[in-house]
Amino acid sequence: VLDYGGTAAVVLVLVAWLLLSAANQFAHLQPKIGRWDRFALVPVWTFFAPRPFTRDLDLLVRDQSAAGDVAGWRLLTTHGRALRHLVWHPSCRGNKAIVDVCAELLQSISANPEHDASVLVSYRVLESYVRKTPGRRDVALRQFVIVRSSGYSFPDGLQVLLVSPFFSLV
Amino acid sequence: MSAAQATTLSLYLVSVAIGLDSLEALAARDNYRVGIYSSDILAGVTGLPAARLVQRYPAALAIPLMLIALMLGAVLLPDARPEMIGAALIAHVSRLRYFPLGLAGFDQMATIILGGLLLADAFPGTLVANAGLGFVSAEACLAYFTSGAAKASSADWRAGRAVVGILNTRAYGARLPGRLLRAAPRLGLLLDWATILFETGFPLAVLLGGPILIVWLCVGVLFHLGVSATMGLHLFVWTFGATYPILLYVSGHLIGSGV
Repeated sequence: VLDYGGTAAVVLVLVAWLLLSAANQFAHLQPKIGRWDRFALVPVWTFFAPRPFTRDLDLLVRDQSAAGDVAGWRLLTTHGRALRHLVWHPSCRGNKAIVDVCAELLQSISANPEHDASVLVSYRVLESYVRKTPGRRDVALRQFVIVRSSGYSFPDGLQVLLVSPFFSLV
Repeated sequence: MSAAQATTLSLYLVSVAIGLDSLEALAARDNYRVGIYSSDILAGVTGLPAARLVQRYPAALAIPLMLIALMLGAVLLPDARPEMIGAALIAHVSRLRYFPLGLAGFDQMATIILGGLLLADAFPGTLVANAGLGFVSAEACLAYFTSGAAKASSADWRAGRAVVGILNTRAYGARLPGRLLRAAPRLGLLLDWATILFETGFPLAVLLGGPILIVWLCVGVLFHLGVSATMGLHLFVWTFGATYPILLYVSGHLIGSGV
């Protein structure tokens, strides 16, 4: 059993946590709170609002061999719905991670269009991931692209948002 | 519902959520080996010296394995429950710290529930226990209300374009329901407004308690099952569902509406 001071301290922490949670629902406060929230303790509960997620973001890569042959684009984001996703959906988190990093990169570029995108953390995370992705055996160079598509009408209405230069995998 | 029943039921449900999430992390272990979590940059972003060790494959699989063991321990070993929940809480927030990509609302709700359950289990029958359970309830009400209010402020949601738009994406949609909603725009409008009303009305239902709260929670279960079936967000069923026994207890005993 906690004494009076201990009880008061616990209640104070919970009240502070709740107040921070309430404050974090306002978009203009999220960057300030997020800077200190290293353990993702303070939630954002707005879920698909005010702007609902109505267009897909996809990450694609293509390889170039040492001889100069360029392969077709490969989709790295995996989508699609199956009944088993009601109870088992292992690809959900990894896919969301890729889409989140792509969205963050596009947002950073949009906020500072004159800056070099390749120095951004989100760009470097994506490039590092793309670099490790298995590909053809004779691959020498790789390139990635972020596209926006209108969901199930893909590839109709495809919008190319970012194209990386080819980079060496050696 | 008593506090002990509410915490036990909530623990079972959140254990399923964390256990499933951890099993899925193990099943998708390529994410840590060559996938998005294998990025060398990630260690630099999170900054802590331990990050480079924890994030390296196969060490990265230690946290999901630990979480499975700890949640099983919390369910199967009632005498060691507070210790197990406390350790699971540390492992869970460590995972959010070291692998901060692709996080979702159920991750944070799981943190909140584990925190509330820890207090309720370690100090049963005290003000601290009730504060923990009250905190979980308040966060659940905040979650639903904020989500509903944000939707009500959106022209897309008010005009009935949101659910149809979301269900027509490949990331969060499904081909058949998407096509159905495209063909029946009034159904889309109805679903958008039903979501807004259900979510914004949630705190009021908790305050009113009794049969109204029971109805609201039943609708909540159907809502999360529908979201799971169509959008693939199945872990919300378990994490947000884990707040429901606590909400019944808090509404009945702390707010005093007598469920």
